Amino acid sequence: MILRLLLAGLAGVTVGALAAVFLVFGPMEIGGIQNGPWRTNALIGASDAGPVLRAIIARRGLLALNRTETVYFTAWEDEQGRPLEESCRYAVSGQGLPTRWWSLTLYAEDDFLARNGDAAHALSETDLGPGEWRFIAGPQPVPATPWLSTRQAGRFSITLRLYHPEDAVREAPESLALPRIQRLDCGEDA
Amino acid sequence: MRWRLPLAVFLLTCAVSGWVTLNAIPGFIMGKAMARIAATGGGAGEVRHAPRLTQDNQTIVRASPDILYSVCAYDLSDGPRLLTVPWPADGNYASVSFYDANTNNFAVVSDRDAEGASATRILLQDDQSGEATPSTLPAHKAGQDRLLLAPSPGLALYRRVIDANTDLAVAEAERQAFRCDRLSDQ
Repeated sequence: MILRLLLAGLAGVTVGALAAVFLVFGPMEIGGIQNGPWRTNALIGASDAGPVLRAIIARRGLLALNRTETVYFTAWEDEQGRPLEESCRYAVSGQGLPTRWWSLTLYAEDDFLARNGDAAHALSETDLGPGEWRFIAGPQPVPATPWLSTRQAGRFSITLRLYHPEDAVREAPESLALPRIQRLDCGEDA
Repeated sequence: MRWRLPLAVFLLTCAVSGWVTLNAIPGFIMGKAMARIAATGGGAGEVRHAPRLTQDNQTIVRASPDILYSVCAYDLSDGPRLLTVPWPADGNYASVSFYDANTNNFAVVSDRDAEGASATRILLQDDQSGEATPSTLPAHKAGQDRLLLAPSPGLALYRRVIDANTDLAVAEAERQAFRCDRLSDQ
């Protein structure tokens, strides 16, 4: 009986630890509020985030700012719910946002900047202007069009940072007019 | 019946182990990040001025290439720290944010709080003690010096936005003024 209890305890410790590691390092996303293809979580950077969310943020968004300073939205999918793929081309378009300044950064599947030598990882309000704007995310640059490179990015994501956002961003992030992400073509066509 | 007790032990140890692991992960990741930060960059005092982010020098997930980062990993057990935080002359966003060893962002001071000053001094003191006040600082300026009671050890992260209009040489020179000195060295 004692041996059985010991084995049960050992199995419990192992399964519990492995489950926690899978929860944090597996495919689980930060979750939170959805707005089209964009997601944000009100607890990013907050000390009252639960242990699961805090562990996931430590892995996927370590040293994030709290929401009075910056609100982060991340898209892993296009507006039709398909994963963002490095071999596809996307038209990303939007307009002015209710914040002091904003930027968009493309991260590879491993949550780092794609190691592709293109130096085309981010665009900001300064690059795209305060009014309506549009750029292409894809494996090849497009003449006379702002571009983010998807080469070597795998199933990538795009993070929108809003610095010193207006109250409306924090109070109703689900109803903001956020950028559209439309897939144009994939593979040989891209 | 004879499996009921082992099953209960399994479920209990599973829950406890999962909980302990979940709570340990942020500290583990933070410790690794602080070690990587310490191994890169360089600068005066305890501050590490990370080079501008490129695909080849990344140490933290989802860092922004639009920001210059400087970082101070502090331990207040040997006394308070005096942080000097410079604000960009070009009006771009800048802040210093504070994290405990469990990744909690417990305080932020940004250029918006500076009310036009070119720099803010922050007296960083262990939240278990109360030995110094801003009014005791050398060349104290009321309204520009702040006191922050902080858990220790921790990390102070300075961010300064750079964009297509930024003079990078000026921005680089400005952020070198970010300091994190032991008060006893003042």
